[in-house]
Amino acid sequence: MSAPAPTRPRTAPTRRPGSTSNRPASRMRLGSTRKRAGALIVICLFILTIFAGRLLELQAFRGDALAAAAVDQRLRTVTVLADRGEITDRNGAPLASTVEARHITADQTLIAEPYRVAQELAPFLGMQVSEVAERLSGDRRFVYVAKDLTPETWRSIDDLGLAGIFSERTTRRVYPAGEVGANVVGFVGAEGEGLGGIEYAMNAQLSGVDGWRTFERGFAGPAIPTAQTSGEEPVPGQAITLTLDRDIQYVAQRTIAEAVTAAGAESGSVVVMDPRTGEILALASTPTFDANDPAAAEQANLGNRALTDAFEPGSTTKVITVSAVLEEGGMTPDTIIEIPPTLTRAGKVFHDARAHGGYTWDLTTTLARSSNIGMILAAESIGGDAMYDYLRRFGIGQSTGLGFPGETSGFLPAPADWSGTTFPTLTFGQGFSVNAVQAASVFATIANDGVRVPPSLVMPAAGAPTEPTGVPVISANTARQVREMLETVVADGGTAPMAGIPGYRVGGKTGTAQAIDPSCGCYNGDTIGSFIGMAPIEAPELVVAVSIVRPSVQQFGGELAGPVFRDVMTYALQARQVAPLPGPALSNG
Amino acid sequence: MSANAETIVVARAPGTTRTSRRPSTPTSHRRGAPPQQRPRREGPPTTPPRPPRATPRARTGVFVAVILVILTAGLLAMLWINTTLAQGAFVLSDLQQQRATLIESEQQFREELSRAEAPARVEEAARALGMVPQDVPVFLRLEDGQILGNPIPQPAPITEEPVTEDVTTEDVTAADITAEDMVTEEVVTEDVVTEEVVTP
Repeated sequence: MSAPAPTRPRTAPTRRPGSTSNRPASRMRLGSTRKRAGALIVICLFILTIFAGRLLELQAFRGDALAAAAVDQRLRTVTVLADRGEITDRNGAPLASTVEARHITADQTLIAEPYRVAQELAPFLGMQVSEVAERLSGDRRFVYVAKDLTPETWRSIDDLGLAGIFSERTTRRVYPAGEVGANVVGFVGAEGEGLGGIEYAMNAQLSGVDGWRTFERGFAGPAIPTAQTSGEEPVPGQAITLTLDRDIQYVAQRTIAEAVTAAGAESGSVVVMDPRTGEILALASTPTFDANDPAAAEQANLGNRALTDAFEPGSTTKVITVSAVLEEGGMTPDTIIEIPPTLTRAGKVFHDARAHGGYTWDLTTTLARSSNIGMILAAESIGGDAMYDYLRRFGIGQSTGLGFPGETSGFLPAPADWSGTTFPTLTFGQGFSVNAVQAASVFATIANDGVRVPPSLVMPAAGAPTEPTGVPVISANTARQVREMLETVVADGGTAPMAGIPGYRVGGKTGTAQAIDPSCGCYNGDTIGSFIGMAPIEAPELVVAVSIVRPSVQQFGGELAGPVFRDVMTYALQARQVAPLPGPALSNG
Repeated sequence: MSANAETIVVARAPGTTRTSRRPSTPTSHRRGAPPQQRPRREGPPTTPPRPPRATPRARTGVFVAVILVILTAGLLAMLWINTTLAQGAFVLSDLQQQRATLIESEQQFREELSRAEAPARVEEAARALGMVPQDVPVFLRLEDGQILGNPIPQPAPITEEPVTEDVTTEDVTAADITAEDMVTEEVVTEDVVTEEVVTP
């Protein structure tokens, strides 16, 4: 490009001396023609030398750098943002998706009248004029005015033609269902990185790799067609399908929230599981938060209590005791147990929930009426080691394997650390702790004919090998016996007749556990009411676990959690298309 | 240049290989013929240096004219190609912008849709229609028309608001949104048009 410039002056001076020296030569006064021609030639040569030198400098020495600088002026490299993977429920309903958004930025030095600009801008941003004006005044070249606006809003702002107002392309994470599944899905931070729940646990899979594009562009903006463009396509994040069913999740959340409010309780949780696959269909935790605005929520509500909170399960553990006794102790559901009013073990007096005289109950009734003393006596037929072994095999004190952030594995003391009262206490569900999913998993094992399938929250990616990972814990026969015993709990004589559903055979177990006060490490009268059940008993397809923590009303687990179980189970049975038994209504409720 | 060289070759050759060339390459002969005859006619009567001067000058004139025409045509073609390319670039960026806008609107509609079909909204709408949750599950098996479960009529729902109002307001908002979107798209294309005008 710079080559023609020096050649032009070269031709001009050579032509001129030729014409001028010819004509006025006769009239010249100073010196001779030859002298003047000589001088001119010297001057010309001097000028040409300068030109040649400059040419050499521009072309030879600095040529590459200057050409690069010129290209640089036209070159523009933009980052092409990778979309974060979508999170959907098992039916493909979106729980978290990513949309385009704009940040509004400003160059304060270009804004002469911040207040006037702010007046025009504020209505679009939903901010106070004074607040906007404050951000616009100053001498900073780059400042954020507002974040995460829709592209449409930016176009409206752009149409105003305000000087010094720019936009920055970004993406925004949206949770269309709001609170539904928020405690599982989690939330993202300001930079779009996962900070809670699945968003955090699977951040690496969800976030893609940003790409880039370099192109030459003219002053007006569009890319120069013949110029080279280069770049790398962004790699979008992986989509994740959860095992949750959005509708069941919603019903579970709504029902538990209403029950927790009605009971004046601190919190509550519901777990809905398919026992045959271990897939968690709903994992509700209340109080919850709106995933679209996690900053407005209380820190304690951001996690998932069904996984992060360990509690003493109480009477729901009695199914483990009964299972172990049936499997190992040679007992049958009809084995008679003499139950005294109180029982003393290692110097401690054990009572039942309601004071009573002496009873003669079979094992089924002992479970249905939830007698602690009866359980201690039954468990003593197999001993502490066998009891511990069965607790472990049912998954107590072990991680669920979900990998959920903040998840607890609960606590189960090893036999070496046991005191004299530990064994009798364990038989009715005190002295160790579980989370709600572990508790549900115990019932899922019984529902699945004694085979324990680890719970799962995320559907395996398409093509991934799916191996049956079930571990047999008890025999199918024992499991069936226990299920039939559980059915009597929901029958009229049991502790939770309110959990029955017309048309289905339903079974479950109530629990009213003492809750430890963390401040003193003692029992102060606070309780955790729970009900875990399954349906249909003949071949269970659903397990629902409900727990309500620290209700302010004095009620047993069956009365508190039973109705929640019934409502959630009723909906889940319909959603999963589990038909009731044909013929006239058969209700055990 | 190549045409000129050809004529010279042919002009020098005639004496030796005239007869042999004629049948094989009639076109080259025809083209070569006029220059061949001219120097011959004027060659013998006058001395060689003077008269040929006038004719080469004329030939040079024709040659220059041809070159100029080719150059001009080439330049015009270049100009045309470049203009077309530039125009294409504007169309491209216009369409890309339109595509981005449409993707954004699609995303927005999707988001609105998924918000609208969120369970809470559906329940709200169902209740507004006077529907209630089924407390006693009943299934109708299509194969044999058998009713599974015990159908008990649910208690009559308590309706508070007429249903039609809700539906119309939602329809109106949806229509508004599409209308607004159309407007913004028009604005975008207008912008591009003004850009095109400015750059030339």
